[in-house]
Amino acid sequence: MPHSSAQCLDPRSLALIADYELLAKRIVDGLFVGLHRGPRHAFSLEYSRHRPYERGDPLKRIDWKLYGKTDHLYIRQYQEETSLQAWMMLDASASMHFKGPAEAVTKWQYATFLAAAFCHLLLEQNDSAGLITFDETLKRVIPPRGSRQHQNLLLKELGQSSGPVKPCGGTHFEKTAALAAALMKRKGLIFYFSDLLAPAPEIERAIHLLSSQGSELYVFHILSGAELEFPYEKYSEFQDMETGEVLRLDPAAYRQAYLRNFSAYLRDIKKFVERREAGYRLVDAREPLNQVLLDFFEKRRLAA
Amino acid sequence: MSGLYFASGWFLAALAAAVLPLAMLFTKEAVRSKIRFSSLYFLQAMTRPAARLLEWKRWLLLAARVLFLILAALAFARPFKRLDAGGGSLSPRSPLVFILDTSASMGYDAGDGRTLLDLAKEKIRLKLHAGQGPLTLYTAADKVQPVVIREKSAAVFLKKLAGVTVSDAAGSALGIQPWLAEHAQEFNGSKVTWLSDFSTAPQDAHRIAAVREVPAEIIAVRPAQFSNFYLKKIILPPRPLILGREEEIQAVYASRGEIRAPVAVAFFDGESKIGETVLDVRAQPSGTVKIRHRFEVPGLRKLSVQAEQDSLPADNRLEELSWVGDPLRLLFIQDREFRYPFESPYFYLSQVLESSEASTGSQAWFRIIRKSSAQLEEDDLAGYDMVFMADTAPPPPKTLTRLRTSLKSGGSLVVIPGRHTDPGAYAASLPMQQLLGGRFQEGEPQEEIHTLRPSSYEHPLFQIFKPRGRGRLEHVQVRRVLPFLSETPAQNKVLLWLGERTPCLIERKIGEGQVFIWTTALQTDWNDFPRDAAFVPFVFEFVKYASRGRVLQTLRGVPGEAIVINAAAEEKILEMNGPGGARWTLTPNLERQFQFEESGRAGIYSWRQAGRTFQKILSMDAAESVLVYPDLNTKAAGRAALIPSVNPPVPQRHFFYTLCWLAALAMASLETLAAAFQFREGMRL
Repeated sequence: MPHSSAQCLDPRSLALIADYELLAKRIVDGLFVGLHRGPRHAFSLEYSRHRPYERGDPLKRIDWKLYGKTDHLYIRQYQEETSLQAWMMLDASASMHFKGPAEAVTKWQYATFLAAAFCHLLLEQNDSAGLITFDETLKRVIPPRGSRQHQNLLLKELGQSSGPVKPCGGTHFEKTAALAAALMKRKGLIFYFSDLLAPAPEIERAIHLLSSQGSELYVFHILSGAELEFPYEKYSEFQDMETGEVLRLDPAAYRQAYLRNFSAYLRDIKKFVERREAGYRLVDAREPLNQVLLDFFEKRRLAA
Repeated sequence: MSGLYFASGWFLAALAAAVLPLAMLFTKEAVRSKIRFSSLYFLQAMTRPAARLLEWKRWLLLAARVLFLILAALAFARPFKRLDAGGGSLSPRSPLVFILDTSASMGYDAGDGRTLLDLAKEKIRLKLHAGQGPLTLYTAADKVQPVVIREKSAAVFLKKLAGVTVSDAAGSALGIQPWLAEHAQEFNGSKVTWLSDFSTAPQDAHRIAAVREVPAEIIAVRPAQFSNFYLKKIILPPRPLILGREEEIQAVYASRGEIRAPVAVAFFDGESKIGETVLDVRAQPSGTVKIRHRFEVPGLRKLSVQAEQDSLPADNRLEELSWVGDPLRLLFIQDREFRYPFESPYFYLSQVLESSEASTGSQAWFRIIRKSSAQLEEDDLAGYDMVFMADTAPPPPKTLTRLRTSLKSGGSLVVIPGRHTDPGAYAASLPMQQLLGGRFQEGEPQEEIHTLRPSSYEHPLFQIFKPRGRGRLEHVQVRRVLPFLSETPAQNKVLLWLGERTPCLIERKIGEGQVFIWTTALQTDWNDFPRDAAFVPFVFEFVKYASRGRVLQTLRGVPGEAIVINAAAEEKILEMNGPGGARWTLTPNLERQFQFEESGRAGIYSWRQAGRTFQKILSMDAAESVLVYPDLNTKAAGRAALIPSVNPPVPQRHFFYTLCWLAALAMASLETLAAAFQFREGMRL
């Protein structure tokens, strides 16, 4: 029985797949089911110039809009058309391993799903992809490559690291951003997956460091539904997953204030990111992955 | 707090309640859910400034709650200082308060010519000593009355004590216990002594003995052994005594102990002695004594029996009221001749009345007269105590008007339907409708099976069925009913129901007299009533009830027992006559059940109600009483050591309790404010 792409890419069903190669393929295949445009030039990069059409050029590269205006056939040319370098930066701090009461996957798992999908897409079209995981420092760095073996390595790494992780201190966004920026020799694409749970100025500085390298930065702000809605009712003891600190409070009484503050924080983050001309997508860990990916591609298309 | 007495149910319960908030807190702690949350960054940002303060507030609130409950508990518990036996911490100059039982039983001859009251007085004298505090004396019989209040002079006190005599009223420790508790504060700092023989009616004994804490020293004044003769009951015929005939009066007696001398029992009509019998009690310790007497004076007579040689004078006199007059005149209206006697609608009624006369051998106390409606036109209807109209057509309007006039001055009309009763004729006769306050439903009688149900077993008509010993009315099956439609339901009172809704016997008051309407015949083809064991006693009760009040409704009880009066709505004032010529005017205030409670003295309490005279005879049976606190004679000292519990001085205690209440109120206010603040802040305990 065929499944719709939304069903296929629901985090609940993806959480059941242990093999990240299969998972990434399923995401990508499911994503483009029913879409008329092919995926392969989704990452094709920065527009450079037009040149007149010559025999042998693929018809699909013809700029038909320009033809409509000039009655001449032109081909769109892109920079680095086959050698895009992309970095997946994943926040592996303890807070990323949180999931709400009725949620299927942690924020970390969700981030790995997205990263795996992007890796698969990039490497399928001969681009190169690398991986950085970080918390207080950089935990794992896999430089970008474009081979099939490298794809397997990345997906295996993402699959392995999706298991339960114990609290391991806070996140140093600024420090890790500086270290990561130093590693990135070439301009490219940076996919930044994090919950960004830190004071807004620190986040702003981290975003600045990453975006100032000339790379295109795309921030996936992954949050749990419980963080967005704070649905707790009973008087409870809340323990910080990163610091282990405990706070006893009545969540129902604090909900309004929490939501008010949290909204302000989200607005600030979005403002900082957009000020740096980086892409921003607030991701609710309950929403289907295809929605997130489609939004991304749509944004890319509009930018192009 | 040592020395304060806290064994109060209130205190213990409230103290237990004080543990509640603590238990709630710790339970809450235990069951509090733990949530691992991604980051407390935002929560801490909100709570950090207030968290420490709120934690303090939380503990403060808990302390306030606990304190509030403890203070409320203290205020409720009203702890008091407990003193040693014999007023350990009371000084020799502390005021002395004596409560002396002067009820009738204290007049018992203790053996050496002195009564129990004399013994009690002697014990009081022994309690007095040089340099004592002010002296107070109360006497307690049916009520507690002050005799001497805070008298400093022992001579004056003793003089007044010598003047105290035995009352002829019954007294009970049951009445004194609450009085003592009520006045405990008044006696603060005083040494209270209660002297009594502690004998009481058997039904009260366990209630008295149940109260173990009495704020007084108890001194039991007891004879070595009771030996007395006592009269239990007068037995009179359950009917009016017939004028000019020799009637028999009986008295039941009993005795206890060894009574050597013969006992003379005298019978009185009012104040004049009408007979005397001398009994050899040694030969027959209990039994009946009887005399025969011809009454020559008509009217309500007070008959009494008295044994002169008794060691307990107040319980050897019994009284009872009875009506002396001509036999009752019962008129049966009969318009039809019957082939067989059992076809007559009066057959079973007359069988019962006449057979009883034959079986008892006594002379008739009623006369049955049979007449037709036509004969009534010339008759003076005022001479009949009861007029029965069974299965007859309504008499002519003139006769009915005269009947109505005669009813107004007393007597009864009894209307009973039958197979020949034509409801239409009743409906057509306006005087009949006015007399009955309604009419029979037209058409054939209804063929339905019902059982009888009295409106109340307290009603004089049904009181004899209350113990269920003389047949059960509920077992009587009624098969045929001619329903009666009351047009004035307020005046037509249903005495007997058929099942739940259909009236069987309706009473309607007309002046001093009344009309009784049956909806079923007293015949076996209508119901089983004539065959039932309840029929015979019912007929006699019915005749007594309906016959101009010339048969008294007699109730019996013990002194102190409340007299329950079922007052009708229209009776706004009742005159109550008590023993010794006492009179009370009662205003029932439309209460259907009114309780007369000033019934502490033995004797007859009589009142007239709805054209009838009621009497309640309260006799003490003091010699039959049981001894409460039976261990007092031998363990008086030990017992007394447990009993005295004198409260701390009144002003000090009031201040303490007021303080408790104020503090509790302050705590409650604080708590409310804190809760409101806490709610706003979002912290809950």
